[in-house]
Amino acid sequence: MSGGRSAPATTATTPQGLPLLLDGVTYRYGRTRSATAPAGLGPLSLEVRAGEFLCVVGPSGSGKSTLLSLLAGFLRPQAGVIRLGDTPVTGPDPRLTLVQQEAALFSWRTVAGNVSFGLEQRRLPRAERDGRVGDALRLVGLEGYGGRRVHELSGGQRQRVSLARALALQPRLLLLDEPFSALDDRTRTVLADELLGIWWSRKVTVVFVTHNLEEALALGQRVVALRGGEVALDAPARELDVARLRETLE
Amino acid sequence: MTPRTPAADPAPPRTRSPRWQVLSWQLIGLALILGVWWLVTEGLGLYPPYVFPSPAQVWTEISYGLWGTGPQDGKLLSALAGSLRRVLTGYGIAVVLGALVGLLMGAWRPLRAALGAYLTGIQSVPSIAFVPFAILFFGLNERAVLFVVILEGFIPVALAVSGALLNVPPALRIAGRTLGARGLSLTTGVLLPAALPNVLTGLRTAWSFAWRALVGAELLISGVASIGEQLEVGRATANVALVLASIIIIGIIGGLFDTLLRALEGRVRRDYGLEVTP
Repeated sequence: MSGGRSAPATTATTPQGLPLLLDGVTYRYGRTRSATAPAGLGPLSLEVRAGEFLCVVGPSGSGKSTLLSLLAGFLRPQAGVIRLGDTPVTGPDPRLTLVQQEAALFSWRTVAGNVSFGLEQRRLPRAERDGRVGDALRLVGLEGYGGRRVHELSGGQRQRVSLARALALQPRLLLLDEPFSALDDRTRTVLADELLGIWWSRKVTVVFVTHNLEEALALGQRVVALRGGEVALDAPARELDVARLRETLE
Repeated sequence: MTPRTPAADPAPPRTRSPRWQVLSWQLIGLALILGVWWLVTEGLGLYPPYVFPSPAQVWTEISYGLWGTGPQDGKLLSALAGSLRRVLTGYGIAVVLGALVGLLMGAWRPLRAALGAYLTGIQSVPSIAFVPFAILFFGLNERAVLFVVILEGFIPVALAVSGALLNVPPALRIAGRTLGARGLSLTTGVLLPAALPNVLTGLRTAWSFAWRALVGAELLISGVASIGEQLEVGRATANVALVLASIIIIGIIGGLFDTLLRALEGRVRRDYGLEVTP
């Protein structure tokens, strides 16, 4: 992996990603607090450009997971608004998908069946589903793996399937929650490069949450550091280094 | 972008172990049991045949009882047919009812909180304890037997379904929701398939409970052709060979169904990647 990326603005196709706006978003958990309880989030305002690759870093309890849950529509902000494009996000939204830390594949389905699941929920015609499944598997380097059972795959391959499952839905916003953290360094590097290639070709807006500062600087165009549920730093990746990020988060 | 070949990221190898080995050991075990039985009865003559008959005498009882053509023969077969009809009916009803209640309990935690402990408590009561109540409530008839069978089969299914649903990993629920599954489609497309291996374990437990409950109830409810009645007839006529023949048939039928369900469970678990042996 190399340093922070520039925007894919000079390509001929229209960017697929949508701009994301968080305006005064606040979420607090219940009154019972413990050392391990999440701190909640906000008030937080943030703007992510269409097609931008944003990395969010922060220590445990800084609000990263809360932010992703809010963006994914699993939590509703107690104050403020989240907008994807022109419309607010008020629940799970078909314009966005989430890739989790663990692949969370459906072991009763084949690889192709997993990738097809979201398309089936959208009741797309069989032919279109098959086409999209094939495209997504090709994109993540798993062409020919469609008929395999997921338990026959390695950790890296599973995470590829998870990514393909999200990409098949052609999301306008791709949320990634430490998707490579359970992988070995080599596989992580390979997958990170592949993710950049996919982002570059699809022009999707990406919010990538990680606790790995090197990974954030290598992948993101821009890095947001959260601390105690608030933005401690928001800067282009090329202007940052690990030492500064670490200093900010301490 | 050029797609990568994930060759550098190899998939785990598949492993298989020989099934015939297991079968061989099972046959050796059977031969050992029969050998010791023969030795104690015919070989050393430690017990008279009217106290502890030999394997050959019990086999004679089984063969006459199952496929004999004399006027007094074939009673074990008709008893077995009656018991199987009863247990399959009761088990079927128990599975349907248990699955429905389990689904509701799995979907709605307060219902599980309200019922779960009581169902577990009822499950700990031996099925035979419900027979007097069943007789007083339904009379000395098949319905009393069916009631006990359904009660014993229903609870493990309800607890297994609700427990399995509640234990579906949150990551799978989140994956389902983020991929667009909601409500019924989330339940049928994600939660139930994810819960299936544990549900099948519950079905196996339910079968075992139902089969035991059936025999227990049939022992006390006379007048219906049943394997339990054959046990009672054997006791009343001091026909130990018939008692042992009935016990063996009960064991074989129970074991056969358990093996079938276990095979189904194993198949599902292998498909799910939870087991690697064939």
